[in-house]
Amino acid sequence: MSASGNTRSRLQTKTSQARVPRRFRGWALATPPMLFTLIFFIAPLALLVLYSFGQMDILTFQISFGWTTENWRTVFTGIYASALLRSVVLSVVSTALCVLIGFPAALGMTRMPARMQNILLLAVIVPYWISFVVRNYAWLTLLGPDGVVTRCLAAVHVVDDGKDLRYTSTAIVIGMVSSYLPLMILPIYVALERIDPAVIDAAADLGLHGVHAFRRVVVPLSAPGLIAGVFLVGVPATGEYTIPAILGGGKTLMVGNVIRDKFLGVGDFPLGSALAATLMALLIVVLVASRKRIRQLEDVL
Amino acid sequence: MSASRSPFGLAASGPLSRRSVLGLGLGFAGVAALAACGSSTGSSPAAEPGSAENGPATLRFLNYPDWIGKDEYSAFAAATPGVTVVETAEAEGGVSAISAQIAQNKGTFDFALLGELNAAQLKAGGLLAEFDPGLVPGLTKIPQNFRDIFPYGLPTDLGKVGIGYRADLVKSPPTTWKQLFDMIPQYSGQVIFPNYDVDVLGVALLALGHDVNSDNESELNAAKDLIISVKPHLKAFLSTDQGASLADSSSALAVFYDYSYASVAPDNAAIKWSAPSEGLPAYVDGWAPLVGTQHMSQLAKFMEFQLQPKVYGGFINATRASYLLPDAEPFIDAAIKNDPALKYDPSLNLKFYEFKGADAVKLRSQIWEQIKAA
Repeated sequence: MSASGNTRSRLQTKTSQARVPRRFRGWALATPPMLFTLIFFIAPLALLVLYSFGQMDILTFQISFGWTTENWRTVFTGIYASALLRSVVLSVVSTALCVLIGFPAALGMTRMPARMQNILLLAVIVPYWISFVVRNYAWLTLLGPDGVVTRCLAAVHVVDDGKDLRYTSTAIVIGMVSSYLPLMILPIYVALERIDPAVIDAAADLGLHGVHAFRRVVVPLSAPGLIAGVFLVGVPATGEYTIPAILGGGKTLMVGNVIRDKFLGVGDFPLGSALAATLMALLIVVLVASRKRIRQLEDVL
Repeated sequence: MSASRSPFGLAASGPLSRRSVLGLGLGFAGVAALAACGSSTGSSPAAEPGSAENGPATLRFLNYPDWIGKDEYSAFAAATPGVTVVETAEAEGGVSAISAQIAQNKGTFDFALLGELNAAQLKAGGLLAEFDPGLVPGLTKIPQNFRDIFPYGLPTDLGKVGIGYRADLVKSPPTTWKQLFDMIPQYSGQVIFPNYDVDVLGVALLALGHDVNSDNESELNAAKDLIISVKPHLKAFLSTDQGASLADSSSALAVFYDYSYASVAPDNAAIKWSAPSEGLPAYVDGWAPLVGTQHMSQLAKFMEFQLQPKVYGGFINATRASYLLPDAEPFIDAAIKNDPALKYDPSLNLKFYEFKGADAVKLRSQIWEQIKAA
């Protein structure tokens, strides 16, 4: 290109930059994601809150917006408290078990040769290629009186021979742990993988060995992965409804099942919206309370 | 060759300009918006080509999965060229769930399989179409008492809720609902209940000596308390296959349906049926046209087809339900005709469900939620 051509090109660029002021350029870039968030997140949330003040006609199933607070009063009358409490308890237990199983598994993976690490990572991910629902239905067979799991547990005298483990809280926890475990292992693995071996060596030089080095160096450095795993498992587990529906036998309801029944079962969108908004508010409170910890996730995410 | 122009200003040949792409996008958005407006203005679907009274049509049937004779749809399509039936599965979870499914998809289905209680509730909500029995002359072959219970369309079968038990596990089988509730703790973790509100509340009300259709709040609360008191001992509330766990011996007792018994008992001699003396909650299932259907005459043809003794016999043989059409007996399997649960016995104390108004529906719905959430 000739010198005059370059000059013309620079001039054109300058002119176009001058045409769009700098402060608008930021807005232009931010507008599409903001619109996306507005349409697909803020607007549905607003609709949810709007619906929660409505009322459903039990015969016609038509919803009217008379701005009643009846649904909110129903939510807090205690009818649904046990389902909400059960959700929190089962979610906490499942998350804790995922940490107990996931951390050693991730730590073991990082100690393997690179080739083996890839194979193990694949082994963690492969179950996700099978439908979530199918995997949980498979547990019905495994936990039945003649199931492999029941027989193994009976062989070591953990349960009685012929015991049916289906349709129990234990079955729900097993289903949740098996379903969500990869979401715990992967972020912990990433965090552990990033720990510079020189830091462990330095700790050893300074007199920290074995369990002490693990507790004072490895665990704190892997905390971002651990926290990410806790959120990735704990948040969806609290609102879970598929697993209790399959493995709970319609008896052990979590708040997710109650919300599902409201929307898809009895068509009571207003009460379902109030319940869903309550669950969401609860999770937001937990997330806000943990905001300090969440900042540490930047290292992993 | 000169470039022709599309309605959106896009040249049919030649490079795309930014303006033409924008124009096309806006055009599509406009068409989509118009289409959306069109579909939201009417609750019933747009008339299909040939949806005339006697013309070709596709009947959209909301049905309990596979609750139909083997090859019945194809046989009807062959006998009535141009008219076909497409089935969609009903929601699980009871009367409210099915009613909500119909209300939320108003105009999507032409007819549905409903119990008389469900049909009465939908009728009160303006969700059932008017049915003229004169359109189905064969209807008179169904005994009048069943037509009186189900006047909303074609009554297809009779259902009863009873007790199933394994004779090898239960030495003193319950003969009353009260006995059943009393012995549930003894068989903790081995008792199955259906996942249907009216049936579970119905048996609890009968066990307490109340009317199966009670709308009395204190009686319903007592029934709720009774169910909640035994809930920790129940194995599960199951929507389907209540008999399967009796068959594999993982359960000893089940509150279930006559057709569930008939489907598992022939292969399991240990499974028995008990008809409690307080009475059996009962219902008449039937096909009822839904509001918005434009194919009433074609639906009447399908109903008439169903009433052919051979077709109806095939329906009963496939569903293993209690039959309502005496003319079909020669085509019904002997095992079904002689089944202790399915056999129609006028001396049985059947308690048919009745619709008691919106307040009763609301109260029962709340109580069922409390039972499930407890």
